Amino acid sequence: MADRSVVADSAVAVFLCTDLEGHGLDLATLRRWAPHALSASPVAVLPDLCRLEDSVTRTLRAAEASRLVLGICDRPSSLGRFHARLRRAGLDPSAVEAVNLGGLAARAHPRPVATEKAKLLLAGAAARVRAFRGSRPDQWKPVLPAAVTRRAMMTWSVFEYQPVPSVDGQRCRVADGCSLCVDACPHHALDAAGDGIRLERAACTGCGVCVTACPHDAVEMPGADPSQLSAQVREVLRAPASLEPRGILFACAASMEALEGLATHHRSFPPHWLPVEVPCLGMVPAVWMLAPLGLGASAVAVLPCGDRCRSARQEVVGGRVAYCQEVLRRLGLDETRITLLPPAGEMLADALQRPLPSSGAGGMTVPDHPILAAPASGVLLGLAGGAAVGSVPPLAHPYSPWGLVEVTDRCTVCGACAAACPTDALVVHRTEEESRLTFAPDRCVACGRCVPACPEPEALRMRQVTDLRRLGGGQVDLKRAPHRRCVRCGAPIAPEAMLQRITALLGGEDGPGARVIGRLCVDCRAHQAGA
Amino acid sequence: VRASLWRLARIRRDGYGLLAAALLYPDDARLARLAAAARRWLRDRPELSGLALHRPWTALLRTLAATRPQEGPALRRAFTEACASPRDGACSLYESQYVPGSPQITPVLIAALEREYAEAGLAPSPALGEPADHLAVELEYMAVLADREASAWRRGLPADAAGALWRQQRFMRQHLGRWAPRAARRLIALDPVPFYRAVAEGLLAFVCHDRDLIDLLLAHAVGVGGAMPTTGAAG
Repeated sequence: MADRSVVADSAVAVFLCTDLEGHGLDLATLRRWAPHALSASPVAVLPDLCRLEDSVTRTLRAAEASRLVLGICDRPSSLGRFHARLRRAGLDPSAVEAVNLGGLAARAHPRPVATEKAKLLLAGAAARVRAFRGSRPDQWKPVLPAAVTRRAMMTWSVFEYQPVPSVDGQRCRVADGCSLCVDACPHHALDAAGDGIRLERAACTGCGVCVTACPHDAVEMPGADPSQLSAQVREVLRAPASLEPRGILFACAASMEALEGLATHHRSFPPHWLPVEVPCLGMVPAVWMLAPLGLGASAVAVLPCGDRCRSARQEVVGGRVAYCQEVLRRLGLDETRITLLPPAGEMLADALQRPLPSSGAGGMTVPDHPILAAPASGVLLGLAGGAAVGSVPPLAHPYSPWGLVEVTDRCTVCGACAAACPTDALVVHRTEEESRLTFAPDRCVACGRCVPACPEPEALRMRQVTDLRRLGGGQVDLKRAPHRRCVRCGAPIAPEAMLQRITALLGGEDGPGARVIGRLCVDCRAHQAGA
Repeated sequence: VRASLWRLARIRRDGYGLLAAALLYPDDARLARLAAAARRWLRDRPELSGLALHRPWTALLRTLAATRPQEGPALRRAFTEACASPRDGACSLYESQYVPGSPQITPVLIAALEREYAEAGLAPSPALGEPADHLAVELEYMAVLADREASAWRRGLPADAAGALWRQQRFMRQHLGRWAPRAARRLIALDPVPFYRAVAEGLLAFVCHDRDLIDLLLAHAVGVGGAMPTTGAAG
């Protein structure tokens, strides 16, 4: 991922609702802890913060912080009204992280534990909002909630806003034939149109699947920014708090409600699970599930929303979890450190009761680059740690995010596969002497576009395989084809393999076309034809 | 609810009208009218606070309201440099400059726009001295359509409101929505004086927001009894 700078002015202020004390948080402790631990200023406790009355929003605005973290008692009943009140105060709602400390900590756990957990939730939120890079007007669309009250309509607070992706034309490679985001969109909202990607905004649900499908970091969407999510994961794992071990729990907005609902129904769950909310779990690639383990997470859980999933990604999410478990097994690690949770209710509560492994990564380290970003292979190699990478057998799996391309003797190094490859995993290098087809395994995303692009039968195949040895081995030559030279001027004509194939297609070496094409370069053929 | 839809349509009408005026040559009389209109809006219209365009729109209104008469010459220079200069990178205010095939396509585009306006019983004012594809003309056309929509809501005629919205949606998809955001971004990229930066950011936010809002309102209008027009004669 290209390193894009975070907005320079990223001062963070933290406000906590007074009522959290009554729900079971030690606000005095949090207030002492936050300024230093979060580098936040101001840190204040406000009455009626959750209701965001005008007096409260005036205070928020007076803080003059470009980023806010609000510790509130409950998820807002109407996000539209909540955001509208922030806007009225001149605040950008996407630069405000509202953390439901009531449902996720205060009402779910005993006071001392809840307070320690609240520290981590606040730390994660502060890191996430600090990494927010700003949004543009075209990245939001108004939507109407299912039930519209007359009163809401009269004040326009009825409109809620859903983020939609935008494509950075400078990074996008659609002009080179890449349309991985189009293929990935579960709602068919994207279309490759000439030199750009077009979004059917009405069809977009803001699931964010396109964001992680893009290998060029060209698709951006507020709330689905890998830099923000990465910052949050890192911070909840490393922030100082006496709560060990720590597990990362990926959830979407719908499944987060189910988690928060457990406390409402007096179902306690271990405090060690630290939720990270994403627009849709379908956007979470396998490497995101693996990466936290290398950063010190004891376990990773994925909480789907089940049948409520608007993007119908349950199968994909389950497949990715299964892939991750298989990876852990191959690495000799406990496969249950990554789990797929049941969507809600008693089964969810029971599944969360399972104790987390007490130790952290046990020597696993992930390179200190944005963990949720390319090159993703670094995450896997980091997890392998001291293990003899060469001894880990390749894993063929339908949800492997990597592929392996192989060619046979039939490859003529024509370059059609390289032209179709959207990630430059396949590249043809041409010199005077030879044509060379190379393959970079860590760039291959197993899209399979090279296969139909190859004009030769049985010359190329792609297998959806994770091969640690190959991932760490760098670029390899798939085929080197020396050039045949022009009998008249000595200039290179084409790869020998290609000319042999053309000769065969033209009826053998005695054919008139083959005699010319196989012996003379383009210039000499033109010269001969002119003479 | 219809009363609020009427108010929303009137706000949108005034928004388009304000932007249209802000994108014409800033003579002293126009600047004074803009400043007065912006001050009225800031005083009387708090409703936009619930909408996502609130911040850029409020910034635009404050900038317009604070414009003083003595800034006129500097603003006219800035307008000419940014929008009326033949230099590379200037921000053209004509749709034809954003359509592939320009300038050959220009007459075809102008004819299509004039036909569109004529279908609604309108024509660009000769007094304006600008062709049919000028940004201000297209914005003013949207203002007229929003006004008709407001009138329909006020009279309790959802079918007529749906017709006006349908025409707005079509015009937005075929014309204004396709190029106005690009023009706004180009103007922002020129790093103009604060007045035109606020105008460009307001234009970008307003048009992007309205593009989606019209879709939403049309679906709502059809839902409450307005029929989807089947011919171009609606509105």
